[in-house]
Amino acid sequence: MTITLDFFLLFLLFIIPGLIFKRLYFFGEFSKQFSLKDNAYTILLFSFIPGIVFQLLGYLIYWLVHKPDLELYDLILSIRFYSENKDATIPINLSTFFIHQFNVNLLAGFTGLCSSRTVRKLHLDRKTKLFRYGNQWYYIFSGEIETFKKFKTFNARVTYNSFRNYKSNFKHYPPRVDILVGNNEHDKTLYTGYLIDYDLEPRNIHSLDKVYLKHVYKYRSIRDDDNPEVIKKNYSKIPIFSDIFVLDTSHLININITFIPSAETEKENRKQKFGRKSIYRIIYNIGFIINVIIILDVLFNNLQLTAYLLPNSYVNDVKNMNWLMRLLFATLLNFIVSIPLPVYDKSKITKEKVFTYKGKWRIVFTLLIFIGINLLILWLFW
Amino acid sequence: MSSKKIIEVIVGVIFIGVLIAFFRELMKLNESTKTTLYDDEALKELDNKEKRKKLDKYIEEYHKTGEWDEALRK
Repeated sequence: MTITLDFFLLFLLFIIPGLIFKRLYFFGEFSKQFSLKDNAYTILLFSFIPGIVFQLLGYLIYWLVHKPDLELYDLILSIRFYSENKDATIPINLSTFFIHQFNVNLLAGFTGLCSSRTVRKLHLDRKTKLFRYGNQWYYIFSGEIETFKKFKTFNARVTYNSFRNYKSNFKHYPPRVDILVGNNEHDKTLYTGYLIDYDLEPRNIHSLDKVYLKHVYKYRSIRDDDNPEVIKKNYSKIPIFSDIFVLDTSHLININITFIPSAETEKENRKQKFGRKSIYRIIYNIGFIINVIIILDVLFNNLQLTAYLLPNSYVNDVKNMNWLMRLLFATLLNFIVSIPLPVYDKSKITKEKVFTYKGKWRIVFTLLIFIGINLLILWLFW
Repeated sequence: MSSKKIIEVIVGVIFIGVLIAFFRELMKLNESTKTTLYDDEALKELDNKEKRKKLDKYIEEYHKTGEWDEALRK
């Protein structure tokens, strides 16, 4: 009974939040990295570690929000030793425990969702191996491998813009692949086509299982009945007419991948390296960091850092404010800091966000209105 | 209505606004970090026989010479 209860508690407290985190962290093309088909010990261990973190974080939040009159973990211990109690009574705060546990699971899920998207958005997985997902084939076939440190000397850049079609806004074409498959030295076949999709082996996500091609050609030796149109110098290039061609890659020998370059992208990249846009990006990031620091400092740090920039009289006034007024004051400072910052250039369709000062006046005007409203509220109610 | 009530309403509205903005950004973030390999539009263009021919020629030239022929782009 004790073992079962222990395991139940372990599962409820640590394993479930860890599993929820992992399920939401590995999303989209990386979702196969989370699999319940793995070894049970592996699943339990790798869910247990994030589970501990979320349980501790959950308790920290609980401790910050509530007065610690209800010792949550005393309650857990009382559940743990429930069967050994003389009275054997069910703790009356059991519902609090389950609500807290629900919140911890929610926190784990939310963190998983946000952290994975942040890793992708900031390209952390491309910049450092620590954040890289296990599905290396996604990075290869999507062309993102081009941005890895080791592959930056590519002959051609992947076309993130359209191929001489300014009206369309897709990032790039599927790459053309030449795939050599075969069992032995004498039984090899070469296929070429545009790669549309791929499957990974369920047991080993580092291996390809199948590839899905379009507009495929097969290369083989010349036969007597071959159409003269398909005969090349030493071989026949046979078109395979179909909607989708599924190729089993269990006997894959090699793949030659060709990405279609874009002159526009190359020029843009060169500009981004040395141009104003990089400076705008730095200004924007610095402004963003300052805004975050201001909010944290005003709300939680008693204006220790902001005091260097503001007159003492203001600082003392703000220190006496309640948290709602402090929040308003922090927002006011955020608006002021945001005035000189550049904005996203929505007209540019590129892989990286481009910043500009064009059209900034509209934002400045809106910010000034917000600052006015904010000042009015502070003046009226404080 | 007392001033305390008014400020509670204003802060409440701001809070709801911030929440909406936050979830809107989260949805945008989710949309912009999608891991689809290629857009439908790219695939549609690939199905266009003329454009594919142009692409094929462009790539084959690259395979032969190792250089991208800018003239074939146009």
